[in-house]
Amino acid sequence: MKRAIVFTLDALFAVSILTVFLAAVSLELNVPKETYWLPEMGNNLMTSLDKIGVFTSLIQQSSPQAQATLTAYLSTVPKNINADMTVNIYRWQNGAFVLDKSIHAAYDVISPSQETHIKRVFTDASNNYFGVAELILSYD
Amino acid sequence: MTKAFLFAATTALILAVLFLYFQNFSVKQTADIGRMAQVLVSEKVAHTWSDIRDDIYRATNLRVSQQNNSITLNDLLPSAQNVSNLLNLYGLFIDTKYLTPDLSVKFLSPSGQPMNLSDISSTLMILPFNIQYGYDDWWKKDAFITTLDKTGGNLSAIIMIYMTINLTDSYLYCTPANPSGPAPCYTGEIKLCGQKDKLYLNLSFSDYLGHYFNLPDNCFDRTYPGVEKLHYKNASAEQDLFVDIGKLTGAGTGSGVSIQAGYPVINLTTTLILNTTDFYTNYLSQLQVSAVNYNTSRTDWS
Repeated sequence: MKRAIVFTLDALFAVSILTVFLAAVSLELNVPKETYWLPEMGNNLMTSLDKIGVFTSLIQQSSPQAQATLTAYLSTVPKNINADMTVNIYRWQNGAFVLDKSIHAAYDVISPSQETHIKRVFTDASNNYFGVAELILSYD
Repeated sequence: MTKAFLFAATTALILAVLFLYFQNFSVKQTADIGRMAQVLVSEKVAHTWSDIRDDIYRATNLRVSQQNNSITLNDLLPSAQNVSNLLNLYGLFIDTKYLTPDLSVKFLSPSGQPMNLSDISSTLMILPFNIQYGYDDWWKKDAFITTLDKTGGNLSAIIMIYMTINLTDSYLYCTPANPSGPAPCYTGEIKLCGQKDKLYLNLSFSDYLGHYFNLPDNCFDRTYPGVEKLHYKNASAEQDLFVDIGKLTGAGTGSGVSIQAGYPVINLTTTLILNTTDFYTNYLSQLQVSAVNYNTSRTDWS
Protein backbone atom coordinates (compact mmCIF):
# COMPACT_ATOMS: atom_id res chain seq x y z
CA MET A 1 0.00 0.00 0.00
CA LYS A 2 2.76 2.46 1.04
CA ARG A 3 4.80 1.54 -2.00
CA ALA A 4 1.82 2.17 -4.25
CA ILE A 5 1.29 5.70 -2.81
CA VAL A 6 4.97 6.64 -3.24
CA PHE A 7 4.88 5.33 -6.79
CA THR A 8 1.73 7.33 -7.62
CA LEU A 9 3.06 10.65 -6.29
CA ASP A 10 6.34 10.06 -8.07
CA ALA A 11 4.53 9.53 -11.32
CA LEU A 12 2.40 12.58 -10.65
CA PHE A 13 5.54 14.68 -10.23
CA ALA A 14 7.04 13.30 -13.36
CA VAL A 15 3.93 14.14 -15.29
CA SER A 16 3.69 17.66 -13.83
CA ILE A 17 7.37 18.36 -14.54
CA LEU A 18 6.94 17.13 -18.10
CA THR A 19 3.83 19.27 -18.49
CA VAL A 20 5.59 22.35 -17.18
CA PHE A 21 8.56 21.68 -19.46
CA LEU A 22 6.36 21.27 -22.51
CA ALA A 23 4.40 24.39 -21.62
CA ALA A 24 7.62 26.39 -21.29
CA VAL A 25 8.97 25.14 -24.61
CA SER A 26 5.64 25.80 -26.24
CA LEU A 27 5.52 29.36 -24.87
CA GLU A 28 9.06 29.99 -26.07
CA LEU A 29 8.24 28.74 -29.55
CA ASN A 30 5.02 30.72 -29.59
CA VAL A 31 6.70 34.18 -29.50
CA PRO A 32 5.18 35.70 -32.65
CA LYS A 33 8.22 36.29 -34.84
CA GLU A 34 6.07 38.02 -37.43
CA THR A 35 5.67 40.83 -34.91
CA TYR A 36 9.23 41.73 -35.90
CA TRP A 37 9.32 41.18 -39.60
CA LEU A 38 5.79 42.11 -40.60
CA PRO A 39 6.24 45.87 -39.87
CA GLU A 40 9.66 45.77 -41.51
CA MET A 41 8.21 44.21 -44.63
CA GLY A 42 5.39 46.78 -44.65
CA ASN A 43 7.79 49.70 -44.22
CA ASN A 44 10.02 48.43 -47.01
CA LEU A 45 7.06 48.04 -49.35
CA MET A 46 5.69 51.51 -48.57
CA THR A 47 9.11 53.16 -48.87
CA SER A 48 9.69 51.48 -52.23
CA LEU A 49 6.28 52.49 -53.56
CA ASP A 50 6.89 56.08 -52.47
CA LYS A 51 10.44 56.32 -53.81
CA ILE A 52 9.63 54.93 -57.24
CA GLY A 53 6.75 57.40 -57.49
CA VAL A 54 3.81 55.00 -57.39
CA PHE A 55 1.85 57.09 -54.88
CA THR A 56 2.32 60.37 -56.73
CA SER A 57 1.40 58.66 -60.02
CA LEU A 58 -1.99 57.78 -58.50
CA ILE A 59 -2.84 61.49 -58.36
CA GLN A 60 -3.24 61.69 -62.13
CA GLN A 61 -4.93 58.29 -62.55
CA SER A 62 -8.66 57.63 -62.51
CA SER A 63 -9.93 55.74 -59.46
CA PRO A 64 -10.26 52.34 -61.28
CA GLN A 65 -6.80 52.76 -62.80
CA ALA A 66 -5.34 53.71 -59.44
CA GLN A 67 -6.97 50.71 -57.79
CA ALA A 68 -5.61 48.40 -60.48
CA THR A 69 -2.12 49.88 -59.98
CA LEU A 70 -2.24 49.31 -56.23
CA THR A 71 -3.63 45.79 -56.57
CA ALA A 72 -0.85 44.89 -58.99
CA TYR A 73 1.80 46.02 -56.50
CA LEU A 74 0.08 44.32 -53.56
CA SER A 75 -0.02 41.03 -55.46
CA THR A 76 3.79 40.94 -55.26
CA VAL A 77 3.76 40.29 -51.49
CA PRO A 78 4.34 36.65 -50.46
CA LYS A 79 1.34 34.33 -50.62
CA ASN A 80 1.09 33.87 -46.87
CA ILE A 81 0.70 37.62 -46.29
CA ASN A 82 -2.56 39.51 -46.65
CA ALA A 83 -2.37 43.14 -47.73
CA ASP A 84 -4.94 45.88 -47.52
CA MET A 85 -4.14 49.43 -48.61
CA THR A 86 -6.04 52.70 -48.55
CA VAL A 87 -4.66 55.82 -50.20
CA ASN A 88 -6.32 59.15 -49.52
CA ILE A 89 -5.31 62.04 -51.77
CA TYR A 90 -6.13 65.58 -50.71
CA ARG A 91 -5.96 68.85 -52.56
CA TRP A 92 -5.34 72.20 -50.89
CA GLN A 93 -8.33 74.28 -51.92
CA ASN A 94 -9.83 77.41 -50.41
CA GLY A 95 -7.78 77.13 -47.28
CA ALA A 96 -8.49 73.47 -46.51
CA PHE A 97 -7.39 69.97 -47.45
CA VAL A 98 -10.23 68.57 -49.53
CA LEU A 99 -10.39 64.83 -50.20
CA ASP A 100 -9.84 64.44 -53.92
CA LYS A 101 -9.70 60.67 -54.19
CA SER A 102 -9.77 57.63 -51.94
CA ILE A 103 -8.41 54.39 -53.35
CA HIS A 104 -8.73 51.04 -51.68
CA ALA A 105 -7.09 47.80 -52.75
CA ALA A 106 -6.84 44.48 -50.97
CA TYR A 107 -5.07 41.26 -51.69
CA ASP A 108 -5.97 37.84 -50.26
CA VAL A 109 -7.57 39.00 -47.01
CA ILE A 110 -8.63 36.05 -44.84
CA SER A 111 -8.98 35.93 -41.05
CA PRO A 112 -5.56 37.20 -39.99
CA SER A 113 -3.89 36.30 -36.72
CA GLN A 114 -1.24 39.04 -36.64
CA GLU A 115 -1.45 42.42 -38.31
CA THR A 116 0.49 45.63 -38.61
CA HIS A 117 -0.46 49.15 -39.76
CA ILE A 118 2.00 51.28 -41.73
CA LYS A 119 1.43 54.88 -42.84
CA ARG A 120 3.34 56.88 -45.40
CA VAL A 121 2.90 60.49 -46.42
CA PHE A 122 3.60 61.73 -49.95
CA THR A 123 3.18 64.95 -51.85
CA ASP A 124 3.07 66.56 -55.23
CA ALA A 125 3.35 69.87 -53.44
CA SER A 126 3.88 72.03 -56.51
CA ASN A 127 0.40 70.99 -57.69
CA ASN A 128 -1.07 71.29 -54.19
CA TYR A 129 -1.67 67.54 -53.78
CA PHE A 130 -0.91 65.75 -50.53
CA GLY A 131 -1.62 62.14 -49.69
CA VAL A 132 -1.49 59.49 -47.00
CA ALA A 133 -1.20 55.80 -47.75
CA GLU A 134 -2.09 53.27 -45.07
CA LEU A 135 -1.15 49.64 -45.40
CA ILE A 136 -2.41 46.79 -43.24
CA LEU A 137 -0.35 43.65 -43.54
CA SER A 138 -1.56 40.50 -41.86
CA TYR A 139 -0.29 37.01 -41.43
CA ASP A 140 -2.39 33.83 -41.19
CA MET B 1 10.09 8.34 8.62
CA THR B 2 13.40 9.05 6.87
CA LYS B 3 11.82 8.13 3.53
CA ALA B 4 8.93 10.50 4.11
CA PHE B 5 11.30 13.30 5.09
CA LEU B 6 13.43 12.73 2.00
CA PHE B 7 10.34 12.67 -0.12
CA ALA B 8 9.03 15.94 1.35
CA ALA B 9 12.42 17.63 0.99
CA THR B 10 12.76 16.50 -2.62
CA THR B 11 9.28 17.73 -3.37
CA ALA B 12 9.96 21.11 -1.81
CA LEU B 13 13.22 21.38 -3.73
CA ILE B 14 11.61 20.53 -7.04
CA LEU B 15 8.79 22.97 -6.43
CA ALA B 16 11.24 25.71 -5.46
CA VAL B 17 13.28 25.10 -8.62
CA LEU B 18 10.12 25.16 -10.72
CA PHE B 19 8.96 28.35 -9.07
CA LEU B 20 12.30 30.05 -9.66
CA TYR B 21 12.40 28.85 -13.23
CA PHE B 22 8.97 30.25 -13.99
CA GLN B 23 9.69 33.50 -12.23
CA ASN B 24 12.84 33.87 -14.32
CA PHE B 25 10.95 32.88 -17.45
CA SER B 26 8.26 35.44 -16.72
CA VAL B 27 10.82 38.23 -16.16
CA LYS B 28 12.58 37.26 -19.39
CA GLN B 29 9.31 37.25 -21.34
CA THR B 30 8.35 40.67 -19.99
CA ALA B 31 11.79 42.04 -20.87
CA ASP B 32 11.56 40.51 -24.37
CA ILE B 33 8.18 42.09 -24.96
CA GLY B 34 9.52 45.44 -23.75
CA ARG B 35 12.53 45.18 -26.01
CA MET B 36 10.33 44.16 -28.93
CA ALA B 37 8.08 47.17 -28.36
CA GLN B 38 11.14 49.44 -28.16
CA VAL B 39 12.52 48.05 -31.42
CA LEU B 40 9.17 48.48 -33.15
CA VAL B 41 8.80 52.05 -31.89
CA SER B 42 12.36 52.88 -32.96
CA GLU B 43 11.66 51.46 -36.41
CA LYS B 44 8.50 53.52 -36.66
CA VAL B 45 10.32 56.70 -35.64
CA ALA B 46 13.14 56.03 -38.12
CA HIS B 47 10.75 55.35 -41.00
CA THR B 48 8.65 58.41 -40.20
CA TRP B 49 11.79 60.55 -40.11
CA SER B 50 12.99 59.38 -43.53
CA ASP B 51 9.45 59.62 -44.92
CA ILE B 52 9.22 63.32 -44.04
CA ARG B 53 12.83 64.01 -45.05
CA ASP B 54 12.15 62.50 -48.51
CA ASP B 55 9.15 64.77 -48.97
CA ILE B 56 11.15 67.84 -47.99
CA TYR B 57 13.73 66.88 -50.60
CA ARG B 58 10.90 66.49 -53.10
CA ALA B 59 9.30 69.82 -52.25
CA THR B 60 12.60 71.71 -52.41
CA ASN B 61 13.89 69.71 -55.41
CA LEU B 62 17.26 69.64 -53.71
CA ARG B 63 19.04 66.38 -52.99
CA VAL B 64 22.35 66.27 -51.16
CA SER B 65 24.74 63.37 -50.94
CA GLN B 66 28.08 63.21 -49.24
CA GLN B 67 30.90 60.74 -49.78
CA ASN B 68 34.49 60.84 -48.51
CA ASN B 69 35.83 64.28 -49.43
CA SER B 70 33.05 65.25 -51.82
CA ILE B 71 29.54 66.61 -51.54
CA THR B 72 27.08 66.60 -54.43
CA LEU B 73 23.99 68.78 -54.71
CA ASN B 74 21.34 67.96 -57.30
CA ASP B 75 19.01 70.87 -57.78
CA LEU B 76 16.24 72.14 -60.03
CA LEU B 77 15.90 75.87 -60.75
CA PRO B 78 13.70 77.86 -60.61
CA SER B 79 10.75 76.74 -58.50
CA ALA B 80 7.25 76.80 -60.00
CA GLN B 81 5.97 78.05 -56.63
CA ASN B 82 7.46 79.58 -53.54
CA VAL B 83 8.91 76.56 -51.75
CA SER B 84 8.35 78.23 -48.40
CA ASN B 85 4.56 78.18 -48.98
CA LEU B 86 4.69 74.53 -50.10
CA LEU B 87 6.59 73.57 -46.97
CA ASN B 88 4.10 75.44 -44.83
CA LEU B 89 1.23 73.44 -46.37
CA TYR B 90 3.17 70.22 -46.02
CA GLY B 91 3.78 70.92 -42.32
CA LEU B 92 0.05 71.53 -41.85
CA PHE B 93 -0.80 68.34 -43.71
CA ILE B 94 1.43 66.07 -41.65
CA ASP B 95 0.02 67.60 -38.45
CA THR B 96 -3.62 67.15 -39.44
CA LYS B 97 -3.76 64.10 -41.71
CA TYR B 98 -0.68 62.00 -41.20
CA LEU B 99 0.66 61.96 -37.67
CA THR B 100 -0.83 59.53 -35.17
CA PRO B 101 -1.12 60.67 -31.53
CA ASP B 102 1.85 58.52 -30.53
CA LEU B 103 4.27 60.53 -32.69
CA SER B 104 5.41 64.13 -32.61
CA VAL B 105 7.35 66.00 -35.28
CA LYS B 106 9.31 69.22 -34.80
CA PHE B 107 11.51 71.26 -37.08
CA LEU B 108 14.44 72.86 -35.33
CA SER B 109 16.61 75.81 -36.29
CA PRO B 110 20.41 75.41 -36.37
CA SER B 111 20.42 76.59 -32.74
CA GLY B 112 17.92 73.88 -31.83
CA GLN B 113 14.85 76.11 -31.42
CA PRO B 114 11.49 74.84 -32.75
CA MET B 115 10.39 76.64 -35.90
CA ASN B 116 7.76 76.51 -38.63
CA LEU B 117 8.61 74.56 -41.73
CA SER B 118 7.93 77.72 -43.76
CA ASP B 119 10.82 79.42 -41.93
CA ILE B 120 13.29 76.85 -43.15
CA SER B 121 16.59 78.34 -44.29
CA SER B 122 17.24 78.70 -48.01
CA THR B 123 20.94 78.01 -47.56
CA LEU B 124 22.89 75.06 -46.31
CA MET B 125 26.29 75.37 -44.78
CA ILE B 126 29.42 73.27 -45.18
CA LEU B 127 31.35 73.45 -41.95
CA PRO B 128 33.92 74.24 -40.62
CA PHE B 129 34.64 76.18 -43.82
CA ASN B 130 31.48 78.32 -43.73
CA ILE B 131 30.83 77.58 -47.38
CA GLN B 132 27.20 78.22 -48.28
CA TYR B 133 25.04 76.73 -50.98
CA GLY B 134 21.67 78.35 -51.38
CA TYR B 135 19.35 80.83 -53.00
CA ASP B 136 18.32 84.45 -52.53
CA ASP B 137 14.82 83.24 -51.76
CA TRP B 138 12.64 80.16 -52.13
CA TRP B 139 11.60 81.00 -55.69
CA LYS B 140 15.06 79.66 -56.53
CA LYS B 141 15.68 81.98 -59.44
CA ASP B 142 19.36 81.89 -58.65
CA ALA B 143 21.74 79.63 -56.81
CA PHE B 144 25.11 80.36 -55.34
CA ILE B 145 28.10 78.83 -53.66
CA THR B 146 29.89 81.35 -51.54
CA THR B 147 31.83 81.87 -48.37
CA LEU B 148 30.84 83.90 -45.36
CA ASP B 149 34.25 85.54 -45.24
CA LYS B 150 34.46 88.42 -47.67
CA THR B 151 37.93 87.54 -48.93
CA GLY B 152 36.82 84.04 -49.92
CA GLY B 153 39.79 82.54 -48.12
CA ASN B 154 37.84 79.45 -47.15
CA LEU B 155 37.45 78.55 -50.81
CA SER B 156 41.01 77.26 -50.59
CA ALA B 157 39.50 74.20 -48.89
CA ILE B 158 37.94 73.32 -52.23
CA ILE B 159 40.11 71.38 -54.67
CA MET B 160 37.53 71.73 -57.44
CA ILE B 161 33.91 72.68 -57.97
CA TYR B 162 32.30 70.66 -60.75
CA MET B 163 29.18 72.45 -61.88
CA THR B 164 26.93 71.12 -64.64
CA ILE B 165 24.11 73.29 -65.90
CA ASN B 166 21.59 71.31 -67.93
CA LEU B 167 18.89 73.30 -69.71
CA THR B 168 15.74 71.20 -69.80
CA ASP B 169 13.41 73.49 -71.76
CA SER B 170 15.92 75.59 -73.73
CA TYR B 171 18.94 74.88 -75.86
CA LEU B 172 22.42 76.32 -76.17
CA TYR B 173 22.49 78.87 -78.95
CA CYS B 174 26.20 79.53 -79.15
CA THR B 175 29.27 78.09 -80.83
CA PRO B 176 30.91 75.61 -80.66
CA ALA B 177 28.15 73.83 -78.74
CA ASN B 178 25.59 74.66 -81.42
CA PRO B 179 27.07 75.49 -84.89
CA SER B 180 24.01 77.55 -85.78
CA GLY B 181 24.49 79.86 -82.80
CA PRO B 182 25.22 83.55 -83.50
CA ALA B 183 27.77 84.05 -80.72
CA PRO B 184 30.51 82.10 -78.98
CA CYS B 185 29.64 80.29 -75.75
CA TYR B 186 32.68 81.65 -73.99
CA THR B 187 31.94 85.34 -73.53
CA GLY B 188 31.80 87.72 -70.65
CA GLU B 189 34.57 88.97 -68.43
CA ILE B 190 36.45 86.47 -66.39
CA LYS B 191 39.84 86.87 -64.79
CA LEU B 192 41.93 83.75 -64.72
CA CYS B 193 43.81 82.95 -61.55
CA GLY B 194 47.26 84.17 -60.66
CA GLN B 195 49.55 82.89 -57.95
CA LYS B 196 47.00 83.38 -55.18
CA ASP B 197 43.26 83.86 -54.53
CA LYS B 198 42.39 80.88 -56.68
CA LEU B 199 38.94 79.55 -57.34
CA TYR B 200 38.89 76.17 -59.06
CA LEU B 201 35.77 75.61 -61.10
CA ASN B 202 34.93 73.18 -63.87
CA LEU B 203 31.81 74.61 -65.49
CA SER B 204 29.88 72.81 -68.19
CA PHE B 205 26.58 73.38 -69.94
CA SER B 206 24.30 70.97 -71.73
CA ASP B 207 20.76 70.98 -73.03
CA TYR B 208 17.91 68.61 -73.80
CA LEU B 209 19.01 68.41 -77.46
CA GLY B 210 22.39 67.03 -76.50
CA HIS B 211 24.50 70.16 -77.08
CA TYR B 212 27.42 70.43 -74.70
CA PHE B 213 29.95 73.07 -73.77
CA ASN B 214 32.73 72.91 -71.21
CA LEU B 215 34.42 76.13 -70.18
CA PRO B 216 38.08 75.60 -71.23
CA ASP B 217 39.53 77.30 -68.13
CA ASN B 218 39.07 76.07 -64.60
CA CYS B 219 41.13 78.37 -62.40
CA PHE B 220 39.82 81.86 -61.71
CA ASP B 221 40.67 84.89 -59.60
CA ARG B 222 38.25 84.86 -56.71
CA THR B 223 38.76 88.55 -55.92
CA TYR B 224 37.58 89.72 -59.34
CA PRO B 225 33.86 90.05 -60.14
CA GLY B 226 33.89 87.92 -63.28
CA VAL B 227 30.92 86.85 -65.34
CA GLU B 228 30.38 84.18 -67.99
CA LYS B 229 27.54 84.83 -70.42
CA LEU B 230 25.96 81.94 -72.25
CA HIS B 231 23.48 82.45 -75.05
CA TYR B 232 20.45 80.16 -75.07
CA LYS B 233 17.15 79.96 -76.87
CA ASN B 234 13.76 78.45 -76.29
CA ALA B 235 10.34 78.65 -77.95
CA SER B 236 9.63 82.12 -76.64
CA ALA B 237 12.93 83.86 -76.07
CA GLU B 238 16.59 84.18 -76.91
CA GLN B 239 18.56 85.32 -73.92
CA ASP B 240 21.75 85.10 -71.93
CA LEU B 241 22.36 83.01 -68.86
CA PHE B 242 24.75 84.70 -66.44
CA VAL B 243 27.19 82.88 -64.23
CA ASP B 244 29.17 85.03 -61.83
CA ILE B 245 32.59 83.63 -61.04
CA GLY B 246 34.86 85.15 -58.41
CA LYS B 247 33.87 88.10 -56.25
CA LEU B 248 30.10 88.03 -55.99
CA THR B 249 28.27 91.31 -56.17
CA GLY B 250 24.68 90.09 -56.08
CA ALA B 251 23.85 86.88 -54.33
CA GLY B 252 25.93 86.04 -51.32
CA THR B 253 28.52 88.30 -49.75
CA GLY B 254 31.86 86.65 -50.45
CA SER B 255 33.49 84.90 -53.35
CA GLY B 256 32.30 81.90 -55.28
CA VAL B 257 29.93 81.05 -58.10
CA SER B 258 26.42 82.32 -58.70
CA ILE B 259 23.92 81.39 -61.39
CA GLN B 260 21.27 83.89 -62.28
CA ALA B 261 18.84 81.53 -63.92
CA GLY B 262 15.58 83.44 -64.13
CA TYR B 263 13.70 81.84 -66.99
CA PRO B 264 15.20 78.60 -68.27
CA VAL B 265 14.55 75.48 -66.23
CA ILE B 266 17.88 74.15 -65.09
CA ASN B 267 19.00 70.87 -63.67
CA LEU B 268 22.00 71.95 -61.67
CA THR B 269 24.48 69.40 -60.43
CA THR B 270 27.28 70.71 -58.24
CA THR B 271 30.02 68.57 -56.79
CA LEU B 272 32.53 70.08 -54.39
CA ILE B 273 35.77 68.20 -53.91
CA LEU B 274 37.32 69.26 -50.63
CA ASN B 275 40.88 68.83 -49.45
CA THR B 276 39.70 66.90 -46.40
CA THR B 277 37.13 64.37 -45.32
CA ASP B 278 36.83 66.24 -42.05
CA PHE B 279 33.76 68.36 -42.75
CA TYR B 280 30.05 68.23 -42.12
CA THR B 281 26.96 69.84 -43.50
CA ASN B 282 24.21 71.78 -41.79
CA TYR B 283 21.21 71.22 -44.01
CA LEU B 284 18.10 73.34 -44.24
CA SER B 285 16.77 72.48 -40.79
CA GLN B 286 16.85 69.78 -38.17
CA LEU B 287 13.98 67.34 -38.15
CA GLN B 288 13.00 65.72 -34.88
CA VAL B 289 10.59 62.78 -34.72
CA SER B 290 9.70 61.48 -31.24
CA ALA B 291 7.58 58.68 -29.88
CA VAL B 292 5.35 60.35 -27.30
CA ASN B 293 5.10 57.42 -24.88
CA TYR B 294 8.67 56.18 -25.23
CA ASN B 295 12.02 57.74 -24.70
CA THR B 296 12.77 57.35 -28.39
CA SER B 297 13.44 60.06 -30.94
CA ARG B 298 15.56 60.85 -33.95
CA THR B 299 16.94 64.33 -34.53
CA ASP B 300 19.10 64.99 -37.54
CA TRP B 301 19.70 67.47 -40.33
CA SER B 302 17.23 67.09 -43.12
